[in-house]
Amino acid sequence: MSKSGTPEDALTAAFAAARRTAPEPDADFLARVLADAEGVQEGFAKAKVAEAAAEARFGTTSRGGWRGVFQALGGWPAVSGLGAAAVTGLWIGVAPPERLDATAQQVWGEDITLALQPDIGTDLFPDEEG
Amino acid sequence: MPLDAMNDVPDQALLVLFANGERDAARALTLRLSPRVLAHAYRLLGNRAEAEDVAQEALLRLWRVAPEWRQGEAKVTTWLYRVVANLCTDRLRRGWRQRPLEAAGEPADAQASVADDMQDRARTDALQAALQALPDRQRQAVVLRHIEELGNPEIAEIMEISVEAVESLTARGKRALSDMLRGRKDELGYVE
Repeated sequence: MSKSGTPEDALTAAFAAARRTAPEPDADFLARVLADAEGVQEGFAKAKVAEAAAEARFGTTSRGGWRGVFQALGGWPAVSGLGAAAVTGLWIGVAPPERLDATAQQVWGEDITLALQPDIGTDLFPDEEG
Repeated sequence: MPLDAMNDVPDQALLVLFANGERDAARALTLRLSPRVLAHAYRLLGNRAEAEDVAQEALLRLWRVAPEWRQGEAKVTTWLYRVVANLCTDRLRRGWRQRPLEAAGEPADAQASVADDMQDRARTDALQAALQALPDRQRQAVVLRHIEELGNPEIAEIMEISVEAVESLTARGKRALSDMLRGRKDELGYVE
């Protein structure tokens, strides 16, 4: 039996002993793990068969149509972000906060009003009236 | 692909084959990963039966996540160490504690002499009992560093903490283990 001189040496020896005596998986355990693995693989195969059947029946993949658009955008995280941005934009348009007006004035240097339908009747064809 | 030919295939590639329904990939991954997962669970729990349950559950989660595995991100073993640690922590938080010094099973090295084997067993038992007395995170860090022999950056990734925090945990853990084992110097085979 080997003897070590310091607690540090003893601890190092104990770690090495722990590596040498690592518990080995026995046949029963390996069989259980492998059975799980094969069961999951069968599930994948069944899912693929079901997807192929749905494709054959409806002529589209399960990722087509709106679901495809939804997936292409990035799923729920992306769509919820887009939704939040849209609602915020609508709110600012309908009821702009006072500070927004003040900020716009500071940026542009004057009070600006934007009309959705400019008055184009007189300015575009001035000569025709005279 | 024959089972022997899979020895050199990386874990992530085997996982892709597994997700594609390759039976040999399931066997290769089971044989490759089970020993490490079981040993790690045992080191954290100190109980063979509980460790087997945790290892089986961790591997089942790996099988299920295989089709969505993102290549080039975390190593398969890094992911497994994290899952095993989380499952062990859950069990310990639910109030389960190991019975002290439960046998881990047959030693891996059958060639060792009987005397060396007894010494190893005594040292391992004393160490395991001391490990169980450490706080969960210290135990996890010490096991990963000094028994699994992983580098600090990988341990930091597994535990989702900084490398400095890993160094602090392992240093405190080793100090505590030394203190605890000083009282069992005969079992550990050292003289002062």
